[in-house]
Amino acid sequence: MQLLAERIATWLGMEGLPRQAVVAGVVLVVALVVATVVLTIAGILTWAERRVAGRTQSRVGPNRVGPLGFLQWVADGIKLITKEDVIPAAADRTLFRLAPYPVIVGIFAAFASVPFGQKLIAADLNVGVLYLMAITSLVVVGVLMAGWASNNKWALLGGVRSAAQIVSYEVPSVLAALSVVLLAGTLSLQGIIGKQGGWPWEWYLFYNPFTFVAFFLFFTSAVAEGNRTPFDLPEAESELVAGYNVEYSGMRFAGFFLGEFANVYLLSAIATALFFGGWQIPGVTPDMQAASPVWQAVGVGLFALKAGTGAFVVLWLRWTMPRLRVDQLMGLCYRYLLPLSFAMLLGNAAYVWLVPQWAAWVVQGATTTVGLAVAGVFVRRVFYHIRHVGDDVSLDLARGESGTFDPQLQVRVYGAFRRRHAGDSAS
Amino acid sequence: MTATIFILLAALAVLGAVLAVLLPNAVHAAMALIVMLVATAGIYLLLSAPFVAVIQIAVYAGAIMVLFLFVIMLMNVELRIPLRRWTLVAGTVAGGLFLYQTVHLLRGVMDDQARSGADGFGSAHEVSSVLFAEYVVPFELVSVLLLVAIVAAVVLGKREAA
Amino acid sequence: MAVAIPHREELMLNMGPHHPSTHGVLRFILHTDGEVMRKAVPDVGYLHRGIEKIAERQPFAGFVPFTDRVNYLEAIFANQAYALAVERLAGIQVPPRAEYLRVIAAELNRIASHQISIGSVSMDIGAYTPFLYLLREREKINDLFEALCGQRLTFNYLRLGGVAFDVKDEWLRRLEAFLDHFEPAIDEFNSLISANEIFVKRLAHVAPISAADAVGYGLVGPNLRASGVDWDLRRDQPYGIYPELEFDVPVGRGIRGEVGDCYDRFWLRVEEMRQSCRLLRQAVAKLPAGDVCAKVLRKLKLPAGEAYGCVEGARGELGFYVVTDGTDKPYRVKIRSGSFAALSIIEHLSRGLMIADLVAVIATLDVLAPEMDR
Repeated sequence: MQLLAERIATWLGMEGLPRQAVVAGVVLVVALVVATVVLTIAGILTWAERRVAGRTQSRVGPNRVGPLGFLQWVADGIKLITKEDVIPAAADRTLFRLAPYPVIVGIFAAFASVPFGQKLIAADLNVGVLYLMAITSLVVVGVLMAGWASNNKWALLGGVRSAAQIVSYEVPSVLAALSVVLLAGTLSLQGIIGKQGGWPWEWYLFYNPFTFVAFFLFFTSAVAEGNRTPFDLPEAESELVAGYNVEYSGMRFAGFFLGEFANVYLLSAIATALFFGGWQIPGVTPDMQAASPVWQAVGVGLFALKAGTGAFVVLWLRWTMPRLRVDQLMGLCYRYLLPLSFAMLLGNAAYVWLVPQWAAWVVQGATTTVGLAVAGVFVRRVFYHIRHVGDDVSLDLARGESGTFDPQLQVRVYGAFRRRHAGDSAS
Repeated sequence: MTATIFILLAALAVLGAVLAVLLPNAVHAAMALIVMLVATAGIYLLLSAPFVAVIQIAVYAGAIMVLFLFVIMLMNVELRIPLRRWTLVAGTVAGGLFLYQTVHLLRGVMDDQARSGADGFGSAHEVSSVLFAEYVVPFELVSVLLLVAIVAAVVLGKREAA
Repeated sequence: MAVAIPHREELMLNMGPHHPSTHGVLRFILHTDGEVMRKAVPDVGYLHRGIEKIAERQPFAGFVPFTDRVNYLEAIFANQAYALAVERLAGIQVPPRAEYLRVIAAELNRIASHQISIGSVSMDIGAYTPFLYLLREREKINDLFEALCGQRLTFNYLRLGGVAFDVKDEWLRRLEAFLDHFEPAIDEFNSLISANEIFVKRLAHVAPISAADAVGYGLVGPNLRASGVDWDLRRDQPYGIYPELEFDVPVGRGIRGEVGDCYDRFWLRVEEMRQSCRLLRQAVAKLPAGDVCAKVLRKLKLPAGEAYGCVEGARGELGFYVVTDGTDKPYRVKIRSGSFAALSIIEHLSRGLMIADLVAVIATLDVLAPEMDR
């Protein structure tokens, strides 16, 4: 970081300035850039969620603001900024105002060590994985503050549920991530990515059966940590109305909201770095990538693609799954995920210790084959269902025709039908 | 630069600690304690011990303080401790002893300036090799102690519920 | 020593009157320790509109539109129960075509109501998507109703002595096309949610109602049958032309958990939608020609007397008890609705349930505020 600062200072022809000032300036600029990137990602994800929800539920979703409604999130942001910031009369005003900040800080600061590309990382810490786990745990503090300061029983219940959930699920997620750390021998995310390769069989996901299972443990616990369906109990709309943020409005509400969506991308990004080879390009060594800006850009794109796919899966889950109950949630964590992730960690340790290199190649190949086969079967099932869904509803409003069913009864063309048959409806 | 950051963090830590003692509202006090813990983590970072700093945040700010808050919020604790004379005396004696001990311990290292350790000091590798090679027996004993504490807590909690 | 003594008290939570899961303006007072409830006490009356009192000011025929509002999800049944009572008092003979049309309208309405019911079960469990799939299908039923009687929600289709409008063959073909489409759509819905592991875990073994309790609390309709009591007014106390039609009465068997649990109540409604489709097909096939309404005096005056007309509605027995005093208006009308009975058992069921379970119980009992408060 300091080196970079000095280089920038020389480049700007400002060697004369005091070094500390330059360092401070660069840190500030980097922080701003990270914050902007995170905000944009979170905003785009809110739009993506609504589009995904729309398609899942055979409706249209936002499509008015910008092409495909893409600018909807900007409009929403402007609306939220300009809204009144209501603070309940009986609330603890100071804590109520402060509560969104730990949430935002926890999530946004985590992005500082997310390796978007080989060189596109704000701070490559040598304790990267632990840093991510530590800084995101600040979120709990904010959630508890919000729940308590609102002076609302529902909010308190939501806050307490959320804190219990995050603290519980942090354990299996860290243990599952430790499996990879054990294999890579480093806590740095760039180091972990460096140990993997671009091809799927070089990913840690398919390294051995233990990491394969560890990935699913990590993903499940990370989704639970992010309070997303099927683990969205803290926000359970039908039970707790909205959970800990029920009293919030305007930009403070948006703070929680953006935090949640940034967290969705964050967990996908961490999973990408740990299990999916990060920015590694198939057939391109890290050295080749370091030498060429084009490969750099491709790497960044590949990382975004992988993380975006993960985020899509999280959104997809949300609109498909029902919600667990509190005892089932805790039971899942402590009865299944925790022992399993311990077993995977021990399994990996034994694997590193016992399995010779030639056998490791065989195991890696077998895991890759089985894993890809499972993935293939799953994707095929998904597309089978998409093709055979009972009622093919056309989302093309202008065309006004649709699928296999009698068009006269179609919901979408209802208005057109009524105009055509005006007068003959009631016989 | 380092000195400035240190003074800032230290001031924040002291402020947090003082507020944690003085604030009448238990939740506010817990928040102040969190500020203190995070500031301490910053000081560790300054001493180029990032592993310890991260663990400090994860364990204290992230887990232990959350449990504190949990209990405070659920139990709806109200702090109304009347200051009796003997509590004042006991507090003064205990605090004095603690202060004396701290000063006594620190005197040994106060001769030079606080310095950051050798290369790799405070890294995950260094901490774990000390913990799991040199002090493995005490470490395991502490684990057993914690296990006993957990079992005891479960037993107590169950009995109360019944 | 007076240090930090925690208050040993239970948390009193106010669920409603505005809450997404109370299905209308309904309030529960929860006595809970945070998650597990000691009891949930329902508080009714937020949606009382005095429909029974309005009846005393209306001519007999004029009250029919008001019956729509008893329960906006099953307007036809309220129409029919009231019409049955008045026809019994006046001795009106309903023409056969009208009887068939009543069956068609009623069963269509039952499907629409069950769609909302099981859809909101899935929504309250946290799966929003199946609800919208069912609403999409319900929209088609609404289209059919609009073509039938010009209304999409409060149909006002029945008249004393028959129905308001005849149907064309074209409408019947559309109805059949809908059935051809909807029966596979039930399977689609099942594959989407009914077999989902989380969904089953949330509903199975939750709040089972024993047959004795169900009878004791006066549960009716699907809630009663889910507890294993084989009682359906369409078969056991027949009205209209139901004896001429073939259909099965599904009874709770505890297919995923135990008899009378939330999953049974949910599943029973899915099964009933299939039976309704079967009834609709038969009714369309057998529909005779003829008048759709008997001649009924516009200013109907009835001698003093009393009669009870009840039908098997989507939420069970829906009954209108009409007392006349020789004028052209009812002297008194009393409505008996299934939701009110279902609500009264919730306090009994709620002990030891979690808040999330209570939501499932309200949804599977299919408690609807307007029908309850009237």
